[in-house]
Amino acid sequence: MFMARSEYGKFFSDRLRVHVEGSTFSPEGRLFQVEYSLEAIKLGSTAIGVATSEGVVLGVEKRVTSTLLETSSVEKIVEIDRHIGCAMSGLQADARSMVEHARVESQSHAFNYNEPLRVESCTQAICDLALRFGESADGEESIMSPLWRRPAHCRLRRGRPQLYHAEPSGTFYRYDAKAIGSGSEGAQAELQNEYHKSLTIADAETLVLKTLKQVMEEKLDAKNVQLASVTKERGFRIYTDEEMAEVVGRLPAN
Amino acid sequence: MAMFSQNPVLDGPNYSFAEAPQARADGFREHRFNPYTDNGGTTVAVAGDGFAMMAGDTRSTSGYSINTRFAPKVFKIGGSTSSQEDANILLSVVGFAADGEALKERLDAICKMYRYRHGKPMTVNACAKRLSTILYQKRFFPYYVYAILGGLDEENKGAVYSYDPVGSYEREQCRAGGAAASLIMPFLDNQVNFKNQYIPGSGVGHALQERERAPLPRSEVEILVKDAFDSAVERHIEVGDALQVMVITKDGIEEKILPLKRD
Repeated sequence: MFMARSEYGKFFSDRLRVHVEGSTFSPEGRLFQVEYSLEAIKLGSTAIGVATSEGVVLGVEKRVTSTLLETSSVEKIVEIDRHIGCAMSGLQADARSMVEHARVESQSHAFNYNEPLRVESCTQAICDLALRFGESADGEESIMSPLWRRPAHCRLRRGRPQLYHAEPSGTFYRYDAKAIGSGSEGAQAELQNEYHKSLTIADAETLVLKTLKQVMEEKLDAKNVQLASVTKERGFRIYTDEEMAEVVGRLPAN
Repeated sequence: MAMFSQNPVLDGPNYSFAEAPQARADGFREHRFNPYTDNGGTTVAVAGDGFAMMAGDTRSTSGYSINTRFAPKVFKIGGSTSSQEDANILLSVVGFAADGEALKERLDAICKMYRYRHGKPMTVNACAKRLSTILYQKRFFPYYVYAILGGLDEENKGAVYSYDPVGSYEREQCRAGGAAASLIMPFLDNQVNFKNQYIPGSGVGHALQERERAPLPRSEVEILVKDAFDSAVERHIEVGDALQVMVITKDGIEEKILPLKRD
């Protein structure tokens, strides 16, 4: 009912109209595609990031939809560069293309400037792409991707650990701790209560899993969650099965 | 014969962008395109103890002619304003002046964009690598320029990076570039890097001990650079008129113009 495309289109040059026609505006001037994608994220699996002075810990819930599913093939935490990792929630396909973009950006920066890309700049690069989903070259049928991702980060050689959240709308914020996805409301409240500045990496690992456990529908075990960290010493690293078992074993039973 | 040659004496293809087609005995005509000119001049850069000094003469030539007696070759790079008062990098260019100017403008624009994108000034190390990629991107139609980049590294030590026209680069203690580079470089080797200086009485042949190297103090480098240019002016016709010297320290950049022989 708010299909204003032809009316809008008349006021723009041909080139701009591609962009305008691909999107639909609400009376407030918002793009429905963006609004939908923001909602869509709330349906995605929960992902959590916690920044400490020693490094950043990322954790995600893997939804194991079938007992026949090979859980190791569910990839929701990925490496962007040695010093940057990313956990995502929402449409994996969209997230992958953004991760690809971020990786290229990071390598290109290292090639051109002989230094690692800053986490904020990396997040900005991802957000630049987020908005471009709405104006793909063919124009007509393009859809603003419902995608959500949160690059979580790390430290540069001399930098401090940082955690950023990038929204599908193309805006981003820096957080000490952030939860996204279907369980984000409860998880964020939990993080708010538990977070403090003097957390260690081990504290953060437990906090992430404990929080995930509270919001997950399935019973948390070493197979349906995944952890990764970015530290000065070891860079980005996804935890091995043994390390996962160790952290899960550390959780208080209830 | 060369159509726009500013140097009728040489009468060669060296200084012209376009030549009249040459008629040949076999009836074919040969066309040529010479997009480069050598504008002469010389630059010197020395990294010292907590500073880097970049110097260049200000004469611009075409063959035996002088275009101008004041065309600076050393530039401030990476400031956030057009006055470059907060610049943290120096660039000297010598060779083809138009390419040098274009290269300077491009590097400066890139430094400014970097500031916007990453919220911090570029380090000399980052800028050095970027300059290398800029030059190599024009590998098959190069900027005809010998560039030297100077500044302070992350430990506030003087840093000098030297380049060939297609982007090979190296961090060094000192470097001379341009017309009189072959006159000045051996002098710097000896006076800055103490090449061929041995400790007296330390032995003979291979037993000789080299004099230990250390970054030079600024007062000494100032004298060294002025002497180097005075000598070059004496023996090279493309060098002279005035000496532009820039010194970068943690307190900023100072610039001086000193007289050189104008003959």
